[in-house]
Amino acid sequence: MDRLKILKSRLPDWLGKLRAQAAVYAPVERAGVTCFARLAPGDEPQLDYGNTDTPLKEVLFPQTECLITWQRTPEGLQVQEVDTSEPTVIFGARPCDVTGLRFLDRAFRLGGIEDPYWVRRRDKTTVISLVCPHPVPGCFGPSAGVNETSPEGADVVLTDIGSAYVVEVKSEQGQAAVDLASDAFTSAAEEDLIAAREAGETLLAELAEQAIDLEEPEARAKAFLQSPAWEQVWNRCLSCGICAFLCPTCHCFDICDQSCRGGGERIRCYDTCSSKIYTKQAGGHNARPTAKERLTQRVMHKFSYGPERLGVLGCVGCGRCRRCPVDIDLQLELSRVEVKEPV
Amino acid sequence: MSNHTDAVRARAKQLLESGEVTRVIGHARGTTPYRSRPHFASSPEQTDALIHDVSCGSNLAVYVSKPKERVAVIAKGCDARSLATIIHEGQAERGNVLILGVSCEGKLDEGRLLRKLDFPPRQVKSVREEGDEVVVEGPAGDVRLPRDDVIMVNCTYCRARTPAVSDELIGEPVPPREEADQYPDLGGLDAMSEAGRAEFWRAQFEKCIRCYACRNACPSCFCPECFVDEYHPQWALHGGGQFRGNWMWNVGRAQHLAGRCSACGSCQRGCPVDIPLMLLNRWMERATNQAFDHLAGMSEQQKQLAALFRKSEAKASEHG
Ligand code: SF4
Ligand code: SF4
Ligand code: SF4
Ligand code: SF4
Ligand code: SF4
Repeated sequence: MDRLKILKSRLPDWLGKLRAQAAVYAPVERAGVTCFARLAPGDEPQLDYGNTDTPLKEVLFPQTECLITWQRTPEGLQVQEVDTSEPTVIFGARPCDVTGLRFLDRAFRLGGIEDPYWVRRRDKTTVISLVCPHPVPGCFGPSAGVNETSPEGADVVLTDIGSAYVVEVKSEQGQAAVDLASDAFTSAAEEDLIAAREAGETLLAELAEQAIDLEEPEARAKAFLQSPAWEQVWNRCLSCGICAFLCPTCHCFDICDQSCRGGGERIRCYDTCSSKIYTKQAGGHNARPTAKERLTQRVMHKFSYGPERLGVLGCVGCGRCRRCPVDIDLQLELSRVEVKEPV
Repeated sequence: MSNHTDAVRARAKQLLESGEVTRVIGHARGTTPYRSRPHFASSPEQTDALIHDVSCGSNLAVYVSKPKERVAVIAKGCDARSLATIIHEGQAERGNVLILGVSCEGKLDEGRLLRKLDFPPRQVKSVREEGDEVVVEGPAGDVRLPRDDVIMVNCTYCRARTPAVSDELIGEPVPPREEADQYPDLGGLDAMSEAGRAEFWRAQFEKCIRCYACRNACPSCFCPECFVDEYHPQWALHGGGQFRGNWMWNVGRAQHLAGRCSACGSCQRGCPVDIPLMLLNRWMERATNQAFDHLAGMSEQQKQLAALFRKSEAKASEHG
């Protein structure tokens, strides 16, 4: 397919056309943190960002969402299913976050059972990815299998070449998004393509400095759980939700009914296997009573069950979990263990 | 200067060799030169990894939960305040905690430090203190930064730079900061109208993802069942990203910490969306301090705020 290009000065035209057709989510800053939020008319996306502080997944899998509502009426209980899905464009997402959608796509359709809330939104979403100009501190996307210059799952990929973006269209949906503003695009010249390739090469060279070894993840996970480093790690874990809530692939949720004055709603919100109450059962028994059992689940889900059951690693190397308040970096720990040959 | 690594290691080793304690809770070097991590030494060999420098900010009292045998905690002034508080509240026997005090001139705020550098964080080779400066060794040599510009803001108003409660002290005593009895950090909030303050906090609380790192990093948050985890009754709506529940959570947390907060900053340090929780904690501290002359953990004898009644409390009403 011919590569296109769009001048940065024409971007607002394209965004305007997209917004006329769909809800457009793009990186914006809110009280000092960047996140994906719906652009209102006149809003400018913030495209010179490192990565958003909170992950892309929240557009399709919100932190808290209403599943059904109910109301007691003289005729009986009225129950309403909630469907807020609508045509959506994600604009300017980083390759790691885009790749993270792959894990969620598989998890939310595991065994042929579809999560309707995810699937409805996902099927109506077009993803326009933006290649990183420089590595985000702590990122190790390539070590986690991310294609940094043409990520899997993107419909369109943009590479910054200064005054313009080189545009790769990867799917029919992507083509449709570009066609909405066809006069804003021109065919990319040879020197534009060279500039884009060079930008990609520079990025990959810089990323190589942050690479870690995650080959043979299942063996690594098991070896790590036997290593002396493990004891210090689980002993210091505070069992908070940072590493899961910020992770573009974690997808655990809790469901809870909240009622008030004859009506109410059933919500779901993020949950995490790190939480002390995640496995607490009625009667008080807790199958994972300490951070040791809880963090074992995290390690195994990301590096063993994920590859085994979903065919992909549960980590895309975004580095967000390095916000851990007690400096737990599971990926780095895993990369440092010695993986022994099976006997 | 507050690199006490050698002294901390030596004393920790002695304590474990002699069997005086079964465990020493301290810090070790983290994944970068500007990060430390909690470290637990249960054998003399494990003390080799201990460090104590300007990066050792996190409050270690959070790891003291009804110890059955004697443990030692490397305690800055704020850790010691927290220990005194939780011991008073029945979370540990005094005899089971050896408070190994360290004097402290403030600990790093990672965000403030990194914003001052014009090179990527991975290029930081080392961080050390010299006089009143923090010296960062980068790709083009040393970068010298005034300490007050890169430590936690709450450290610049610290009244406990020398632990008020401890069994031993490592390092020379350091006097409290001169600003310690004032609250210049609250000036911005004070200058706002009530509506302006409400708007400020709305924007901050809307960001909250309800990860509860602020709670879990806090030594004073030891309830086996936190109000926010209860379903019957449900005190706060569950789930992040929605203002009503977030407001209830953040205000509820701050109020439960009134008179029990050591101003260590661990909650704010942990918050992944940079909510300035210390402004809230300091606001509560100022209110309780002015109304009741009470500061948490400044002596072993003092009563808990909620267990205190003095005639002078009459003035409390003036402060709303
Ligand atoms: S495990 Fe950590 S680095 Fe990997 S994708 Fe999740 S948040 Fe990012
Ligand atoms: S790692 Fe834990 S929180 Fe994340 S998806 Fe797996 S079980 Fe859920
Ligand atoms: S590993 Fe870190 S971020 Fe994850 S639950 Fe434990 S303390 Fe929180
Ligand atoms: S509320 Fe924050 S500053 Fe106060 S003791 Fe707890 S963690 Fe420390
Ligand atoms: S640490 Fe921050 S985001 Fe997490 S619950 Fe506390 S205030 Fe909210």
